Amino acid sequence: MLTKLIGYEMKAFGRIILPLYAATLGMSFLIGLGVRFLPEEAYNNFFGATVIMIFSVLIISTMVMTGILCVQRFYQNLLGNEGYLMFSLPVGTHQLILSKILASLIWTFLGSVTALCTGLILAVTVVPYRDLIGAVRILGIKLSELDVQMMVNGMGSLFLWIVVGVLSFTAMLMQIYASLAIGHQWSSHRILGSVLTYFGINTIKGILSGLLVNIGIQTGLPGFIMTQTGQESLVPVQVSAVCMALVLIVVFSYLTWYFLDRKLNLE
Amino acid sequence: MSVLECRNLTKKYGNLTALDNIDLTLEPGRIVGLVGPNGSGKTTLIKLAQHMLTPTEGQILIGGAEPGPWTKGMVSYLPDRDFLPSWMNVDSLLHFYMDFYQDFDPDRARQMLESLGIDPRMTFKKLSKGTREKVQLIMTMSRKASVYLLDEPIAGVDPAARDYILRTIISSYSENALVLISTHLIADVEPVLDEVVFLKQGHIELHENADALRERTGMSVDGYFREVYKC
Amino acid sequence: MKWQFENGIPIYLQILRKMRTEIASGAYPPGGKLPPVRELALEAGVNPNTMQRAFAELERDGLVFSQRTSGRFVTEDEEALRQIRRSLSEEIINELCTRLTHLGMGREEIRAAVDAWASGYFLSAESEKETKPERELSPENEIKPKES
Repeated sequence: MLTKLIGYEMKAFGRIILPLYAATLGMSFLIGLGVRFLPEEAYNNFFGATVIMIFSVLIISTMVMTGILCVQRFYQNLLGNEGYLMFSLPVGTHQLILSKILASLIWTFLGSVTALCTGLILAVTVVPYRDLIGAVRILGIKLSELDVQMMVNGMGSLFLWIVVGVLSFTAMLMQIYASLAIGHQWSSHRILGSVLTYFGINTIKGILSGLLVNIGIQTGLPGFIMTQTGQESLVPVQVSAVCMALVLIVVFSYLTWYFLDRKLNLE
Repeated sequence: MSVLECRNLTKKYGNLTALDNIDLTLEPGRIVGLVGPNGSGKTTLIKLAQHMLTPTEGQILIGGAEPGPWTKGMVSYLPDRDFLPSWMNVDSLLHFYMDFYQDFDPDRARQMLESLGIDPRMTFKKLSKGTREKVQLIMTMSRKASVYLLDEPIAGVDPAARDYILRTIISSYSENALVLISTHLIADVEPVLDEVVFLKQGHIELHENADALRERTGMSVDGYFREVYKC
Repeated sequence: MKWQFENGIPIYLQILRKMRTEIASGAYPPGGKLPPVRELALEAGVNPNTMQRAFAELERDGLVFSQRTSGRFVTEDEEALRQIRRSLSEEIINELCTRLTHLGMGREEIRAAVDAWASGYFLSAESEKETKPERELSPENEIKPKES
C-alpha cells in the first residue's frame, strides 16, 4: 500500500515538475550551443540577457515549485476536500504521512540531480572536446597527487554533510507538516494558525537549543566544546546535528500523526 | 449479527456535545435512514464510523472492530462534498480505486459511467458539478462493501438526479450489506428505507422499522418527522 | 415510473393491494411468471425487503407460488382468484357505501343510484363494443363485470 501511495504522489508531483525539468535541461543545452557556436555579438546583447534570464527563472521556479509542492501536496491532499478520499483508504495515517515525506525527498533529490545535469550540459556544450578531455586529465592527476588518507577523510566528511543536509531538510518538512496539522485545529484562519504554530515551534526550538548548549558547556560534552572552540575535526558537530535532526523528526512525526489520526478536523 | 454498533458513544467539540451517549445497533441487509435537522449529529456519527473523528467517550464498532485501516476496507463512504482531485480523470480514479480497494468492481463502475455517457478521459475540473456527484456515487456504490455510508446523497440535486441516485441505491442492494443514508429530506427517500433513526440534538429520538412507524402513527415517516421536529 | 404511495399506510400493504388488483384483473395472468423482487423493487422505487414482504404475503394467501429455481408464478387456482376478486370488490363496495352513507343516503337510495348508474354505464359500454367490433377482449386476462 505504501508503494502505491508513493506512486500516486510521484504522479501528482511529476505532472507539474517534469515539464519544468525538461524545459530547464533543454534551455541549458540551447544556451551551451549558443555560447559555443554563435559569434560573440549574437549573445552579447539584449537577446543573450533574455535567454540567460529565462534560464535563471526556469531553475529558480523548478526549485521553488518543488518546495511548494512538498507542502501543497500535504495540505491539499490530506487537509483539503481530497482528505475525504485519502482518509477513507484502507491505509494507516502513518503511511499517508510517510508517502508525502518520501515523495518530497525523492523529488528534491531528482531536482538536485537535474541541477547538476544542467551544469554538466552547459560545461560539455560550451567547452570544446579537446579542452574538456584535458581538464579531466588534469583533474585525474591532481586527485592522484592527493593523500589517500585525506581523500577518505574528505569523502567521509562530505558524506556526513549530505546526511546532515537530508535529515535537516526532512526535519524542516516535518515541522511544516506538524504546523499544518496543528493549525488545522482552528475552526477558521487555518493557514494563519499554521504559520503561527510554525513560528511558535521555532521559538521553542530556539529556547531548547539554547538550554542544551548551556548544559553542554557546563558539563563539558565534547561536541559542544568543539562548536565553541572550532577545532580541526567537525565530526562531533555533524554528529550532534544528526542527533538533533533525528530527535526533531521523531517529535514532529509524532505530532503530525497525532493530530491527523486522533484530532482530524476536516472541513 | 450487527455490522455497525455504537456503545455509549459520545462526541464533544469543546463545550458542544454533538452526540450524547448513543447506543445503536444496525444489521446487514438493511437500508437505514439517519434523519434529523442540520446539526443533529448525523455527519458526526458517520465520520466517527470512518475514523475521521475519534469518540470522546464510548465506542463505535464496524464488524466488531474499532474504525481503522481494516474497517475502511469494508466501508464505502460517500461524503457530503466533492472529494475528487481536480487533476485526475475518471479513468485514473478507476485505477486508484482498483489499487486500493479489493472489493471494487471496475466493470460495474465502467458500465454505469458509460450508461450516463461520461467520458472517462475528462479531468474532473472539466466535468459539471452534477456529473462529478454522479461519478462519486458510482465509485462508492461499485464497491462490494459491508457498509455504505452515504452522507446527504440527495441534498441539492435535481429530481432526475435524485431518482438516479435512489435507483442506484436500490439496484446495489445486498443482503450482506448495510446502507446508512443520512438525510434531512425524508419524503424522497422514504420508500427506500427499511428503518429510520431519528437524531435530535445528539440523542436518538427513535429507531424503528419504517412501515411499522407508518402503521403505528398513521402518518408518513416524513409527516411524523415534521411532528417530532416541530419548531 | 415510480409507484405512488399514500401517507400513513405501510408501504408493503400498498404494494400488496396493488399486486392483488393486478392479479385479480389479469394484468399478471394465471400461471404467469412474476418479475423478480429486485426488478420490481427498482421499478416501484421501494426497498427490496419491503417488496419481498409483500410477495411473502401473496404467497401466504395462495395467490402466488414460488418454484425454487425458476421464480414466482401466479396461481392457476380459479377458486383463489375468484376469492380475491370478491374480497377486493367488497373492499370497494364497502368504501362506496361508507362514503355515500356519509353523504346522508339511505340503503334504498344507494341501491337505486347504483342501479341507475350501472345500467347507463353498461349500455354505453355495449354500444361502444358494437361500434368497434374489431377490438377483442382476451377472455382469460380480463375481468368480466359481474352480472347482477
